[in-house]
Amino acid sequence: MARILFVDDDPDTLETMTRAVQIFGHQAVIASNGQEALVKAVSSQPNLIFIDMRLPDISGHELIGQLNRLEELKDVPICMLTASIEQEAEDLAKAAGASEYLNKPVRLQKLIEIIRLYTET
Amino acid sequence: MRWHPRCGAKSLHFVWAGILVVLLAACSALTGPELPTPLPPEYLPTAIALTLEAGNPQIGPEAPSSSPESTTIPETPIPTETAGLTSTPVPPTTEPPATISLETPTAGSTPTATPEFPISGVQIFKPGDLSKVVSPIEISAYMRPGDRGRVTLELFGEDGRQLVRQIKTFNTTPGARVNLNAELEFGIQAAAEVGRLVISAQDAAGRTVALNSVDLILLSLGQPDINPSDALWEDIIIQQPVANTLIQGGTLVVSGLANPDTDRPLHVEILNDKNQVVGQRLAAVDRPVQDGYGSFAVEVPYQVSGFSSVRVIVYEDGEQMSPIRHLASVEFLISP
Repeated sequence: MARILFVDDDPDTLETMTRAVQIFGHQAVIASNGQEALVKAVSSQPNLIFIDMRLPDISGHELIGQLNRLEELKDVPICMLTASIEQEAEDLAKAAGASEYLNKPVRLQKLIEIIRLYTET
Repeated sequence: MRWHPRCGAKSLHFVWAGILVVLLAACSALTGPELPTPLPPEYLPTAIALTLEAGNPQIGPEAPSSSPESTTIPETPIPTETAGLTSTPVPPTTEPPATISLETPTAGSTPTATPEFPISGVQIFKPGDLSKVVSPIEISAYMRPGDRGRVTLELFGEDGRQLVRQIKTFNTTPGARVNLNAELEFGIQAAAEVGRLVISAQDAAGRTVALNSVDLILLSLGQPDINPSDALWEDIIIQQPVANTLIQGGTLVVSGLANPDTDRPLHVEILNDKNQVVGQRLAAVDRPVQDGYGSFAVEVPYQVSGFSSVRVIVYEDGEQMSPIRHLASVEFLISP
């Protein structure tokens, strides 16, 4: 079982992601803004983090930078979620330190593939 | 000393003359060529143009694109809680502390974001598309029940025959979503066949409010193999008409986004409160613009005798396996 942190300001998305990964035996931790994400990331020590590009208090790119600067989280893989279809969004996510990039609406098949890739090694 | 009128008048003339000389000298000094000006005279038209452009950034060709992030980040730093949450004390280093940096993003650094996609009216979490299932099928869904808390579950075989139909009732407040966990028993003659699970909710008039489906591989024996679901986000998003508005004039514009499974057109129907069709059209979905979603728009003429409460349903037909594959709806008011 993997512990996965989802960071998104849309409660429907958080609820959907939580239910979806629980069906596949994983534990979901959720945060609705950057500040809460930092607190939950440190306290729950997730195996994988999904971050929405748009957050109310900080951009997803900057949050990745903050998480990567924390010693205990610097090796945790991060996947950026965005509704943007521009290539620039993916480039920026990778440049910020994201390991993966997923378009919204998130296809559960792809989400589970990423979880398996980073947590079942 | 007494005041003499003639001497007083002469003195006043001298005073006024003196003031005039001083004022003229000052004006002469202001118009002199040595007066420093903030901008050269030939640059003034450009400066005015730039000032106008700054006041209205949309009109300038070089206007930076504003992003949502740039407007939501506060000016003042937010104190972080991370320092107190680390399990071991961190020795002082030359590295900056791990705090949320609130630097304003540079113009153009954030890509244009598009609107979020709504969750489906019927989210089917389990089983996912093309899962191999044996009887009974374990179903997990999240949805708003219909009238009197009722939810309809149906399983169709590959030739369109209905294998199972089950109604579940939830005791819940209207409009609230519920967790649907059910087991659906089925029997098939062959060792395996393709099937379709359809979950829907109907209103008091019997009109389908929301419907979603997943295609399955039905096995008479064996081990289930469950795939992740893709039936979580709304496949048909109705943007027009808006719920609870009044439409008049005999024609209704229905538009939105759709992610159909086939390239067949969508069905658009206006149903009155007796579940009768008062208007219908087919709507083609344009080339997908985002992750399979394309836009649709159609004008639907309708006929009503007076003020009516109606529901417009937009659906993708299920071809030979089931009447409907995906459906979304909006309730509103119309008059002739």
